[in-house]
Amino acid sequence: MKLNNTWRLIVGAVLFCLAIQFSPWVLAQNKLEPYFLGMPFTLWFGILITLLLVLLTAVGGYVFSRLKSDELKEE
Amino acid sequence: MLSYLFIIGTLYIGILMFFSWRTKKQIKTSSDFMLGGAKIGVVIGLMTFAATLFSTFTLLGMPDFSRANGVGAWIFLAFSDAIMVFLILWFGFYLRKRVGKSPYQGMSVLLQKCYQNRMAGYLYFTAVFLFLIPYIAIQIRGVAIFLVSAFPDFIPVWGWSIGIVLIMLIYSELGGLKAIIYADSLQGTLLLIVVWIVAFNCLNQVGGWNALFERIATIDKELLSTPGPKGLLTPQFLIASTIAILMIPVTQPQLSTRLVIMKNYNALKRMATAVGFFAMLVILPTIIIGMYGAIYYADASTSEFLGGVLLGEQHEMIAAFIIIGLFAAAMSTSDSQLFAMGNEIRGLLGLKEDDNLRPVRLVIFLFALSALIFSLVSSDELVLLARLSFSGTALMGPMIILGIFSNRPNGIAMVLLSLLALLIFILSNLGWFPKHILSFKTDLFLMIILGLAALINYFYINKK
Repeated sequence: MKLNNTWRLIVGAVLFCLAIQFSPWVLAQNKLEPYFLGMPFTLWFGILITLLLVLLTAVGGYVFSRLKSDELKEE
Repeated sequence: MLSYLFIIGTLYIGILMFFSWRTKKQIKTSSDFMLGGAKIGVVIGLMTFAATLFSTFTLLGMPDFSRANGVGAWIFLAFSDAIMVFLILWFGFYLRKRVGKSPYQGMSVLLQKCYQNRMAGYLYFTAVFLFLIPYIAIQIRGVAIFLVSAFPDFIPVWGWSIGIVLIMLIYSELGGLKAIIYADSLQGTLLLIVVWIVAFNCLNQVGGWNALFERIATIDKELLSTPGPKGLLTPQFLIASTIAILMIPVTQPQLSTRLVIMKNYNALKRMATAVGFFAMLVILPTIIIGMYGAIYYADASTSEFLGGVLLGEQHEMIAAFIIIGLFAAAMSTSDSQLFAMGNEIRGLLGLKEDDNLRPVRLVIFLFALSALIFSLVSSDELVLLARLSFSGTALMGPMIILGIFSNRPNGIAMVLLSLLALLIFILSNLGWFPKHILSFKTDLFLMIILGLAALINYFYINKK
């Protein structure tokens, strides 16, 4: 897959995470179930999606720097 | 506790003095003083960025915020920070490209160059001044009220506040930005260790991780989901907060400066990921402390809760570390902000490398004085005041992003729109303008309009 497409896919994944986190399904009023590792849904899902975003940042940083490698050579 | 505090405090001040002595020797030009030599690696970059981002409001404000509003506080800050670090990858690249190899004179001057209009820079500086002063003030106030609860009938709030501002000014005056960055590294480490020690103590006290949430469920189930017992964490509030926090590295000069002075883009991208992990590690324990507070301090005031959980229940040595850690947190964040505003003034005044920095030093002193006065009159709702500060500066975000991404000057339309939005936001917070527009919260509505205006402006200009 071309770097440009990979970068777009990563940006799309980040936007998807945003949409999911703020969807009525996740932010439903007083939604506690299902519990995971003793945590209520709002917390464990929030932690999971935050972790996913940070991992996307790590992969995104690698892809973006390769995508812009020509411009970065000037640094 | 006083003897521990004396020993740890002396050690801390000794380390600070060593940093400022070491960095003072390296200062040869005004850029060295204001920008710290501009070659920051990943580890120091992570610590200085994190210490500037996570301040008193994290350690004092977040436990209290989650005690009142529940686990949704995670989405408010940690999720928003994760989105923010992703934006750094992209924004940091284009910001550094725009600055190029010329010395960075601050965002105000960069905007004046991008828009070829002086008003853009002055508008940005006005917004930053108006909304960073309250943010600096809450650092000072947060620590001062905490110290009053630690040592009642000793020194009043105003006395502690003046002391904090004086030490802050003396330290930054001696060593410049490099000294602040080193102090940030010390503070970041201290903050992380201290907050986890307190969280583990809370978990032990309550009977473990599972018991924490089981107890909360019996006390108030609403704390375990959104919008929380007060109904504050609504989707609109959380979305508006995410946008405001997302814009912090774009709009707040102390953070955009750190993106520019990183050694290279590779260091910047690694720093961004590391800040994301650091955010998770720092915010999770504040939620634990907040939940613990909801069980044992449900009806206590903010100062009773923080004084109890951070001092009263801790070993004296840990309590002394917490006091020094909080002091360090307030100092590093406030110093960075004052310095960044000083750099903006340096740019706007057009000072060169070898020019005397006396006017900038005077302005930094005046900023500190304004923050001190505001700290004496502001409320104790640290997180909500911080959010107000983030939202106010975030309004400049679309104008900055458009300026940095457009290769040609964008005319004055975006600058005027941003000015109008800033005025509406200020009037709305003063109660002279509705808090909602078309059922949207005013800050969210203004950000949507400014975002759309920036997009239209960008595509219109590119087509022309």
